[in-house]
Amino acid sequence: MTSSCYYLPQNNEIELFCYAAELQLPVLIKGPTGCGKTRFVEHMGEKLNRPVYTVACHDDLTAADLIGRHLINSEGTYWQDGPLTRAVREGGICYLDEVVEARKDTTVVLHPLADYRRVLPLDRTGETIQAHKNFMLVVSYNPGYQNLLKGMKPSTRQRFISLQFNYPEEQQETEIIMAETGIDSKTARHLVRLGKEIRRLKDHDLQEMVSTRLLVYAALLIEKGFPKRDACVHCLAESLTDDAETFQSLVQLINLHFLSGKEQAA
Amino acid sequence: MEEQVGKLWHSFITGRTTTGYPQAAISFSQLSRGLSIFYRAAGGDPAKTMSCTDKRRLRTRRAWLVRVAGTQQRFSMAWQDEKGVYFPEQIDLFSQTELNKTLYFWLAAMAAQLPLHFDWFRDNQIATRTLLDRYPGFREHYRMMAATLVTQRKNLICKTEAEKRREKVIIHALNHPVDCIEFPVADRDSHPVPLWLYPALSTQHVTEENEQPLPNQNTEKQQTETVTVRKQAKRTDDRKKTDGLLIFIPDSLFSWTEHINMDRSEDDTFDENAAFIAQDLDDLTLGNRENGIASRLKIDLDLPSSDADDFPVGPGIRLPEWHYKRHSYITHYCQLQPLISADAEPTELPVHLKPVARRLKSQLESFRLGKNRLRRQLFGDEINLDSWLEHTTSATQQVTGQNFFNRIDQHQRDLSTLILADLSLSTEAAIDNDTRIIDVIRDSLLQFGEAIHTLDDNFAMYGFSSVRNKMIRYHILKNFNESYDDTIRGRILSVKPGFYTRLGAAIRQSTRILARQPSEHKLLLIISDGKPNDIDRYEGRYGIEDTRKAVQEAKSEGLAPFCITVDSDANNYLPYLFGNRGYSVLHNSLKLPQVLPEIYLGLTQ
Ligand SMILES: Nc1ncnc2c1ncn2[C@@H]1O[C@H](COP(=O)(O)OP(=O)(O)OP(=O)(O)O)[C@@H](O)[C@H]1O
Ligand SMILES: [Mg+2]
Repeated sequence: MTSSCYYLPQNNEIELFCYAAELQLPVLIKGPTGCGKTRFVEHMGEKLNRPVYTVACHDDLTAADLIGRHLINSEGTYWQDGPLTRAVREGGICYLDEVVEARKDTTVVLHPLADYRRVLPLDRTGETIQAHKNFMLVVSYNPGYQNLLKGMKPSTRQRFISLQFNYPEEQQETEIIMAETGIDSKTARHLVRLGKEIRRLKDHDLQEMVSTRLLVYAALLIEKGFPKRDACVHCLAESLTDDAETFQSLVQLINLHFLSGKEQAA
Repeated sequence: MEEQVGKLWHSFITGRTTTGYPQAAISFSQLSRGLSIFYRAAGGDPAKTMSCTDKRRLRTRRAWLVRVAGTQQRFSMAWQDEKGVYFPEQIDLFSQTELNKTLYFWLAAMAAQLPLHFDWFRDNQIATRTLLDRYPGFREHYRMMAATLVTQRKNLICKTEAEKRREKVIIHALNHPVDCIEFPVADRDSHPVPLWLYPALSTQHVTEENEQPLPNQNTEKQQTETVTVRKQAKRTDDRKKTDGLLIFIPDSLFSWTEHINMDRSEDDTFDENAAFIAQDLDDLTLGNRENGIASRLKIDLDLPSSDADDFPVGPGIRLPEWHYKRHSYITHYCQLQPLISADAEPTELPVHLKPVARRLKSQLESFRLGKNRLRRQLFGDEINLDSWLEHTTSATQQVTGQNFFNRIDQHQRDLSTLILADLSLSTEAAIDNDTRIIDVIRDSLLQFGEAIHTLDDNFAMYGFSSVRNKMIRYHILKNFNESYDDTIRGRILSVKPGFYTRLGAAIRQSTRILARQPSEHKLLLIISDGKPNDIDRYEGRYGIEDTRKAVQEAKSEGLAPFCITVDSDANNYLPYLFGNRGYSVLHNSLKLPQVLPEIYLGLTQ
């Protein structure tokens, strides 16, 4: 089956995911922002022919947002499944993005689903649903943020098979950017190298790393005809730092990649 | 005309082939931070520091004036070693400032590109090629720089055929950097090429090209002199950061203090180890370090009665210390004295801190509101739709279950924070003309106090310094029970630097205090400016290991230790002490007051 959702594998993740799906094991994906986690899950959904229900977690997310709630219409009240319940009933991948953002009392509803029981008890309706054979639980988080109050409970964490994602290697990232934007290989390569150089500044000078997503954005602008250097300044320098000196160094770096001699002299 | 002659004369005397362009000059200090960021991005080793090089003397061929100016000339050439990259103090070779600036960046990129030990002529060309391939932005600039340099070199004097041949090869290499050219041997040193990196200053490798031994032994001597100059400058630095040891290289783990101490390893009990007596120090002839010891000793002997305004609280506390070689604790080894400044006047927040404090405050207000939402309350600020729907949909609509509201909670978060600030002598060091590290730490504590007070979080502040194991001064700035007010501000403002940094003991005491707090989360925030050190064996690996142990103890007590440092060397040892995610290095220490609350929020949000 060919899927329309493009994903370039970095490692053995596709194979592992397929095994996990078959064996009905939950999967945890760790990785920095914009490295392809969501894309991967979407891609796997297509490949396995299962719908993907994505929930972006935040600290106001309640268990009801996942499970479902009663609603009222002209005829009275009715129960509406949340995304998790739908996936459990009908079979599908429930993908909880940035799961550590959710409060711990919200994530405990996942526990009976993420072990051998594979059940979801619905307190409000008194129902206990046995998960569909095609139900799969996938969660992701970004371990890069140092946070004392957040982090996964070990009891949650140890219910998952873990996959570590990272920004792709130079060759792969170039390929991804070309495929995503149709940009020429020379520019793509420069963008990727530039990205790699900026990533080296992580911890020392920058809090964040340039994501593949940002590189794709820059390539999109360039491909549409926006000047290369400016595209990089807005996508790669401005979005990463507010510090004037660091910004200047990033611009300097960008100039070295994307200014021709003539432009520079001007 | 006279002016002209004077200028020419000057250019000869100072050993330039051509007059520079002072109006287009750019200095290293203007670019240093940007350069080091750029160097790291280009793949350079983040542990290396960037600084100015001394000039080196070369015997190049000169006109008759040589006799007047001396046989040797001094050149600033860029080079690197395992510790750092060294740039000319100033560059004014080109008439455009832009080009002079580019040359700095070029050299930084070359340094990132070149291996440490290299065949300098060939590798410089390979690196040049690589950079030109990699960065189109360098190409035009390189062409312009090389062209100018080639023109300037036309004025050089080559007497022998060999010299002429060598000069030709250099010019060829500048125009067409390729890797296959042997460097021809000729008399004298060749005039250096500012686009290239030269071998390390200390190895004398550079004069290798053509050296017959010099008639007078001057070169040798002067060369060592120049090396010493740099090292001396470095040494003052070293004192602040303790010795340059790298904790990951086992051999370098044994600093001199430990070698000395090995024989004394039995005097470990508190009472016996009365002092690191002067006699021991007299016996030391460890060359390089000698001065360091002398000055340290002096500091120690000068120990003023500065305790006068610090009022001791209680009889002092005995704490253990970890002896890594024995793999055991030395119990009751450290004497820690809690102190409180007796005469600190209650003071308002200094005016220069007010604008930032105000801004932070308003940021934090909204932050605080967003974070504490109590759900399903009888009264509150917003409707909880879920509970209302449940109520409406449940068959038995009980009157008692009508908790239809969410309330924004004004109560504290379940978090206690203890801030432990390094008040050692090294914090006396100046950052710029009118700021010392201690000022920044003081401002940071104040700013942080304001911020965390706004958040209503539970916190305490302590500062520490030490003189050996016998005297660890532990300043109470604010304990958990006091509320943050002008009295506390006054205490913070009256903080003065003490002596050394016996970090382990200070962490242990802080752990004891923080562990008693009832909250679920406990953050131990350490602000420091360098490695743990003290005048005894605490300097070096011993101190590192003890601190590491103390950090582990804190963790096992359920605390989260986190270190914020302004020591740019810190990446070498902090991961070992606090773990990969347990620290944050600030490269611009002036920003500490502003960044500290941000880091705190990031950690706890
Ligand atoms: N391996 C890959 N194959 C194809 N595209 C990729 C790949 N990796 C990254 N991308 C590109 O990067 C973009 C960002 O990826 P994605 O949205 O999946 O990131 P993410 O890891 O989910 O980030 P976040 O943590 O911020 O949600 C995608 O839109 C896609 O263009
Ligand atoms: Mg995503």
